[in-house]
Order: sequence, then C-alpha cells, then structure tokens
Amino acid sequence: MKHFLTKCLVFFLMILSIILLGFFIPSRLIKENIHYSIYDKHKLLEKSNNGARIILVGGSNLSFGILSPLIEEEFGKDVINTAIHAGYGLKYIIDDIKPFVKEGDVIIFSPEYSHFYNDLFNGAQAMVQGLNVYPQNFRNLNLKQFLVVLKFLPRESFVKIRSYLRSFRGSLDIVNAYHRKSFNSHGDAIKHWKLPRSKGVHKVPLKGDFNNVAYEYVIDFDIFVKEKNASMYFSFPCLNRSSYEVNREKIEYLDSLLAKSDINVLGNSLEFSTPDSLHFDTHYHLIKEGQILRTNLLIDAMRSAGLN
Amino acid sequence: MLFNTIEFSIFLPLVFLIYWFIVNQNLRLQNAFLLLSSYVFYGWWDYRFLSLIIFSSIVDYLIGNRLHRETVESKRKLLLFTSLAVNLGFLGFFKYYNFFIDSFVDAFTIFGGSLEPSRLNIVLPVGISFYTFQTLSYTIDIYRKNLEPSKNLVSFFSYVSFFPQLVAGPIERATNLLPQFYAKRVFNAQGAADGLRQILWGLFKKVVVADNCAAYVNEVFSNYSELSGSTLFLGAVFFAFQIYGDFSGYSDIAIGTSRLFGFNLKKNFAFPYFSRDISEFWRRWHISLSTWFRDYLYIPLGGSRVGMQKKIRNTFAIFIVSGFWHGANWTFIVWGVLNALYFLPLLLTGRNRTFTNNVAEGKLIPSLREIFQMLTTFSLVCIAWVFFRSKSVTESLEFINGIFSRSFFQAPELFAKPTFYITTFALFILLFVEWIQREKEHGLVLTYKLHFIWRWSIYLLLVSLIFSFPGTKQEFIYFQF
Repeated sequence: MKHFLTKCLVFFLMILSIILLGFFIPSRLIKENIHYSIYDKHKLLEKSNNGARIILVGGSNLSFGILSPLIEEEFGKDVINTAIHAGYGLKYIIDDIKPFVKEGDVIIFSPEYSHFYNDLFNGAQAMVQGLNVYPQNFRNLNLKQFLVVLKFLPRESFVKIRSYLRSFRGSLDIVNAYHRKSFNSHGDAIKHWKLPRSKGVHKVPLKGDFNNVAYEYVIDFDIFVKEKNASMYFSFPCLNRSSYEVNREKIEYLDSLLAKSDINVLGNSLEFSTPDSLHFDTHYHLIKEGQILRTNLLIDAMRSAGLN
Repeated sequence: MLFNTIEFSIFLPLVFLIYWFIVNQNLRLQNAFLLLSSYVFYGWWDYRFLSLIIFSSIVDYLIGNRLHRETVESKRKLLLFTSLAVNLGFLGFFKYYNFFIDSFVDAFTIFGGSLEPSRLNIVLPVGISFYTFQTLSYTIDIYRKNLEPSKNLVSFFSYVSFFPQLVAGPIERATNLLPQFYAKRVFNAQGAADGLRQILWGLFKKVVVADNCAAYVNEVFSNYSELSGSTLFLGAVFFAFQIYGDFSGYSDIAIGTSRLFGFNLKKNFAFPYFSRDISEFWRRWHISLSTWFRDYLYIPLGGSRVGMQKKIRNTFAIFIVSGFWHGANWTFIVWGVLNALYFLPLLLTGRNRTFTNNVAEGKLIPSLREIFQMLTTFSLVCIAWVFFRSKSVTESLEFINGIFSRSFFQAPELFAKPTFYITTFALFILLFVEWIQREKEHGLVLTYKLHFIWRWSIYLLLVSLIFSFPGTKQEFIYFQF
C-alpha cells in the first residue's frame, strides 16, 4: 500500500508541477492574444473620463457585433466597446466594468443568452485565460468561480505549454480574428472583415434551465448603475436566426422577465436576431454587413428609448 | 456526480483513503462505508431519488429471503411477480409513462378521435434502468435457485448501490458481485495499479474521443438538412465513436474504480468495432446488458433451440426490448428492429457463432477479408446508430437519405474546423492502441516487463492529451437511459 501511494503521490506531483509551470510560463504569445486587449480597453475607459460616455458591456456578440463609430457619430459621445469574450461569465464581465462606471454614463448591456442558461454565469475556460493575463481580477472571484478556475486550470496550462512551444516556430506576427490587434480604437473587432466566413454557423441549442442567480445579478447591476447616476439599457445579442428559432421559448422567457422588470430594454429579442448569412464564424459573431445592420438597429432602439 | 468532474476527483481519493486506512478493520465497516459513499455519490445528483433505490433494495431484500424459504410454487411465483411489478413499475412510470400516453393519443388521432393527453413533467432518475436490472437479476436468480439470498442487509444494499457502476453499469449479476461483499477486501497493489490504468484509458476515451466527437456530431445532427452527404457520413461515423468512447470509457472508469476497492466487475466492452459480423459485435458491445437479455429473456423464451418461427420471434423480441430499454422513443425500437434484421440471417443459417476468437489473433495485420468484414459490420452498425441518435424516425430516414445522395462526393463542410483534426487524431490513437491491445482486458494493460520510464511516459502522454484536447464536456450518453 505504502509503495502504491508513494507512486501515486509522485505521479500527482509531476502533473501538478506541469500545471503550475504551464500557468506561470512567460509565454510571448500571451501579449498578443485577444484577452490581453483588456488592458487596451481599460485604458480607453480611463482615458475618456468625461462621464458622458456610452459603454458597451457584454461578450463577443458585442465585440464582433457592433461598430462604435456609427453610434459615436449619431450621439456625439465617446463610445467604448469593452466586450471581449462571453466565456468570462456574466459575473466576471460585470465585476470588471463596475469600477469604471461614472455619473452620466450610458451602459449598453448585452450579454449572451448562454449567460442565463448553459451555466456560463460563473465563466468557463476563457475566464482562466483572462485571469492569466489580468490577475487583478482574481480579487472579484467568488468560490464558484474559483472552482471554475480549478476545473479549467490544468487544461489551460497544457494549452499554454503547447502555445509556448509553438511560439518558437515564429508564428507571432499573424493577426487573425482573435488577436489583440484585431480591434479598432473603440474596441470593435474588425480584422476579420478580410477573412473568409466559416460555413459552419448553424443552430446552437441552449442547454439547461434558466439561471435565476444570473438574472438577479443583472438586476443588481442595474441598481448599482442607477446609484452611480448613470443609466443602463439591456440590449439583446445578435444570435443567428436559426439558433434563435430553436431557442425561441427560452429566449422569450428572458424577454418576458425583462419586460416585467425595472430594467430599460432596447427593442426585443427577435428583431436583434440576425440572418445566418451575416455571421462570420459563430452564432454570435457578425461580418461587417452584420455589424452595420445590428448597430443601426441599436441606434434606432436607443432613439426610441429617448436617448440622445 | 460525474466521473469526469472535480467533485469526483476529490471524492474518489477521499473514499479510497478512508476505506483502506480507517474502516479496513472489518467487513461490516467496509460495506457500511461503501454504502454511505454510494449514497453520497448518487445523492449528489438528486438526493430525493435515493428513496427509490432504498425502497427497491428493501423490497428485493425482503422478497429474496421470503422466496428462499417459500416452497409453494404459486406463492413463489407471486413473490417474483411482486418484485417484477415494483421494479418494472418504477421503471415504467419514470421512463415510459409519457411515451405510452403520447403513443396512445397518436393512435387515437389516426382513427379520427381527439384526446387531450395528460402528460406529466417527470424527471428520469439517473441510472434507474441499470440498478433495476441489477436487482431483478437478484430476485430471478433466487427464484431459479441459482443464488442464496443475502442475509446481511448492509451487504445487499451496498451491492445494489455500489457507486462505480450504479448509474451506467456494467449491470452486475448478483451471482458475481454480491459474494464479493461477503468477504473482507484486502488491498492488492497490482490490481489497484491496473485499475488506475483502466481509469486513465476510460478518461481518454470519454474526454478526448467522445467529447470531441460530440461537438462535431451535435452540429451535424442539428443541421443535417443543410449539409452534404459526405458531412452526414462523417457525422454518423463520429457518432459511432462518440457513443463507444462515452460508454466504454464510463465502463472502464467504473471497472477501474471498483478494482481500487478490491472488487472485480465483468468486462462490458471487448473492442466491438473490430467485429467481423453483427453477431460478434453483439458479443462485444454492452456485454452486461446483452447477456442479461440472453439469460432472462431470450433463453426463457426458448432461445435458438426452437422452431424457425419462434427463433425469429425470440430474436426480434430481444432486440426490440433492448431498443426500448434504451429509451422511450420509436427511434430506439427501429434501432432494435434493424439490429434484429442484421442478426437474423446469421442465426437462420447457423453462422451466428462463426467468430468467437479475436480478429487476426496473434498477428499484427489483418487479412483483406477481415478488413472487409470489419468495415461492413461497422457500416451496418453506423446506419443503425443514426436511428439511435436522431430525434425521430423521419429525421433518421432523411439523414440516411442525405448520406446516399450525390453530395456524398463533395468535400465535407465542417472539414475546416479545428475540432475535426483533433477528433481524427484522437480516433487514430484510439484505434491504434485498441488494435494493438485487442487481446487484452482493456486498452492500457501494460506489462511490467516494459521499463517504468516507458510506462510513466505513456501515462503522462495520456494525461497531457486529456488536459490538452478535451472536448466540450458532455454528460455521459447512457445516463439518460
């Protein structure tokens, strides 16, 4: 037994060492990946502190779904697209933005539907990648998020080791759709415009039951924003039409809850669902024409809501 | 609790250490602790359904003992019937109630009637099909006087709820597993090490093979009407490997975990995709269920030692019931019928036991004839799997129709997805390793003649593959059954 346990322990320690090595490895690639754009986006938020900004908050449906210059032109205010990745989880996204909210700000909040289903409220692997890049956000984590970190840490470490080894092959200069440099000066993704769109954008069903904790967190965020004398508007994400159809019941449930709440809601979920042909590579990422369409829809909805 | 979760990775070592260091003094403590651990394991998912297992255990414990004492045949039959009614009653209610209501309403509608079905929002208790069959085997074996009833309540309850195989099998016979609860387990380092290897191989099959296949399969089956024949073909092939990786992976983890606690469970999969005909496939796929149906349904019906008509009837009966066991949907029944149709020609021509050995035994490379036989069998199995995976029979037929269309010769649409290459790579490793190891107990049986550096390198490689290329986490497919 002793011999068996010793061997198990040695093996476990070997794996643990590899995981820790992977997490702390100084990868050159890390400063080039999309998660590192959090520094750029925070800089934008710090720079434009006139308190009358339009701040877009959500997952990649916003970064790959909006063209901020069009909104800026329409409303004459600084527009900052803070969105990076839905996989950070709703809580992480909200917690990250809170310190930057100032009086007079208009928050356009557009989380993905999977934040309310699919157990994405507490984040997924992308959150570990985000934390690896921006460890300051560790302080916002609760126990459940720590468990998510624990769950994805081994995988992330091994991925990092692989990318570290790959970095010696000199592939650092390629700026693809998911690169730190793939954003414009507002934080909108634009580098994918010249890339071919994927044929594999299809129906993606939402799994699981509605997460009331996520919904309550949004309500609390709305109260927080109001207390700061800023305002928040909920905007529906640009889910592709065929996914919308298969998830209609679940989405309409969220619709109905929001309609009964004190949250300002811009338009409805159906009008913001976008044709499949306007999607780039996932059910939330749009090509340029899609981004223009969705931004114009948002502008109309903001005007209808009395924003000027 | 799922095997591939953090919770289980904490639960297992904890239970292992307490089992061997604290409660190892006597048998009673060992069994009581295993029982408690099993209830925690199951209750983690939904503690309310523990009451079902406990109730089922009580009923079968009492009936088993009474059956043994009873000498009047009519009373013995009544006792057996009670056990069957209780166990199958629960199973029928939780699993098939809505199916029967819907089918009845559909049938009524065909004849011009109109009915408002009163469906119930029923949650299917995880593993109910597995533990029900396990307890049934206990009562039936006592009735047949093949087994002495358990006199020890804790041992019996531990047998019914033994956590490694509670929710997805292997479906253990009382004759094999129950006696293991009567003897104090002594730690066997070699057995435990082999158990760990089997767990590792099971995790690889589940996390790397099945979960990566699942991403591709889900996309193909959700959008089959828009995809080319070649993509649908790959979707069907990937599903074959998804369900194999998922279920045999689970069985490997279950068997490996049991070995850590000094138990030996029966083999549930014997490299089924290397089968040369359907008959061999069914001797190698989900062995614990196939043999259960053979012993408790097929043979009592007369098996193959009856006239032609009855042979055909028995074959259809066993496959249809097997399909229905998997789920309350016509797709599973058609899947069963299709397998019966595959099997029947072999049975009727007396060639159903042609291949009882391993393919290309003692050789590295199979003959062209064997390759052809394996590919033919695999193709037939894949076609049947389409019914298994689809939501409706119509959908399955459209899917198969889509495969055999002109677009079969187009490049697959999802070919460019990174997951495609990862999945193909994982399948290559799976097939290579299992081919090499096909005469062994599982994919990672390593001889101690191999230097420990090589052995440990293989373990590390597998662990790194599990962490580097996991697919999107999916629940084990067989949990829904």
